[in-house]
Amino acid sequence: MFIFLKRIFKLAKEIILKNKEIFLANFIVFIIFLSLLNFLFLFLKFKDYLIEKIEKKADISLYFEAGTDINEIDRLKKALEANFQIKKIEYLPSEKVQEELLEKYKEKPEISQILEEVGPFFSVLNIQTKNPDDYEKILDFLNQEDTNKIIKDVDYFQRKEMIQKIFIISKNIQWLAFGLSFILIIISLLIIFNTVKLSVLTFKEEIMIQRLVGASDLFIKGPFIATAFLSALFESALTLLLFVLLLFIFQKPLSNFLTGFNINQLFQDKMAYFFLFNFSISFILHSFFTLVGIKKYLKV
Amino acid sequence: MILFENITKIYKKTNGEQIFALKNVSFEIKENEFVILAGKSGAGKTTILKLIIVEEKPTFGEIYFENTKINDLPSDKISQLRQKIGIVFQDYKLLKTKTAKENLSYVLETTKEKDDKIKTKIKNLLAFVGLEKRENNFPEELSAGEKQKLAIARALALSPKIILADEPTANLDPICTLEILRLFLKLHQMGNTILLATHNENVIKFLKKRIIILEEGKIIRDDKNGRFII
Repeated sequence: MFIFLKRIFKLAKEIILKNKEIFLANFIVFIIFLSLLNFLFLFLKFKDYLIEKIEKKADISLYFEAGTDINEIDRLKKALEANFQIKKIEYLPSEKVQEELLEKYKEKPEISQILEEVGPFFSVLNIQTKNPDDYEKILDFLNQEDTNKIIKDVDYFQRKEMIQKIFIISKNIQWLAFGLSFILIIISLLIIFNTVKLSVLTFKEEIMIQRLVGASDLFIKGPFIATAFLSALFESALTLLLFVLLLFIFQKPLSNFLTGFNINQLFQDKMAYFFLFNFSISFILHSFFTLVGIKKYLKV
Repeated sequence: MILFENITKIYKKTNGEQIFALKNVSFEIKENEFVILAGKSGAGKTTILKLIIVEEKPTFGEIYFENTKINDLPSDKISQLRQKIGIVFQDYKLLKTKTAKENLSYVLETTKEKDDKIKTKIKNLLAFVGLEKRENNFPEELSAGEKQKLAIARALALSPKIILADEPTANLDPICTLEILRLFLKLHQMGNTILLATHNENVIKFLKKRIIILEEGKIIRDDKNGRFII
């Protein structure tokens, strides 16, 4: 086995060194493809961050009558959690509401003074659902449960249109990201397939001769799989290096543009994952397209 | 060693027309025999060689190599069979990106032979065909005769049971032709079985070996004494 692997890698080295131009072309195409995949990955992460940020702005608040029993609020909270796909539900007692408002306006003493004078504040239940349609259903549910005597106000109606718009925007962003990624990946795969196919064509005659003089399928395919391994190794390492350099150079403008989204940190945290992902994708594509390409010449 | 039993090979053109490359051909080649396949171009000589190395499959009939039917071998068995057969092609079929030495080492490395033994074997093979000084030359740097000698060395690399040669002197001048034919005779004297296809009358007369003459896919003569009379 060791002798076999040694010979396979020796032949792979010969293939690369004697066909430098072809491998350089493949190398460049693959680095562009891997960079595109990495860019898409970061873009999708940014999209998730953006959508989360937008969706955080969509919620409804139930304001309770002063003196409402906490047990009744807790019962209602549990009923909502049981009946709807709740993303986040948070109860704020009146004291906490007042505390938060005072904290918010601590720089403006005139407003703080008014806040301390007025009161008591209403307790609030802030609700975020996974599905925007659920907000209407929650209102129906509240009517059925006959909660009028404990709920003073619901702020949904004032914000209904805005909430619906937020969900439409986030859905559109999801589709745009998905569509863009799909189109770019398909185009890249076609380019890669044709580049590899052209490379294989160069080896057509040699493969047929090798087969005629008694080389086994594995002995012919082996060096191509080994070249795929070596190419994938160098391509993934270089792509990673390229991204590290680019992110370092454009650190400042990127952090200004992607407010709050730390792309450098994300890349650093997932560096090993990026390398493995790039290596696996490159190795699989190189091997698959090459083996598909040489298959017909092995029939000799 | 090789037995052809009622072999018919039909090629189909894209327009559906059938071409009979071989019609009900039967013959046997025994160990240590030197057999010449003779006939005009298109007589079926190359088809017979292709059938022996399973590059083509017969339409009808059965082919045996060392008592094993080889009509329909799976891919892995085909390479095992080809390792037992040394092949010399008219157009040499050398690996262009490899030197003379590498062309031989490639074939030898398909086996489990150790590297030091391979090196010794390559030296011996190159010396046998007189190319010891050309080991680092690429095929395009060799003359036609040298290319064919290298192809013969490659055919001998795995100590084959039989050597097949398809018009091995077709592209050579008379002097080179003589050198190559002497090499084949030497190989035969050393105990090798040889099947050589040619349409060259001078080659047939020089070799004076058993001759199978083909015409339009049929055997019209099988003469043990090598008489080239139709």
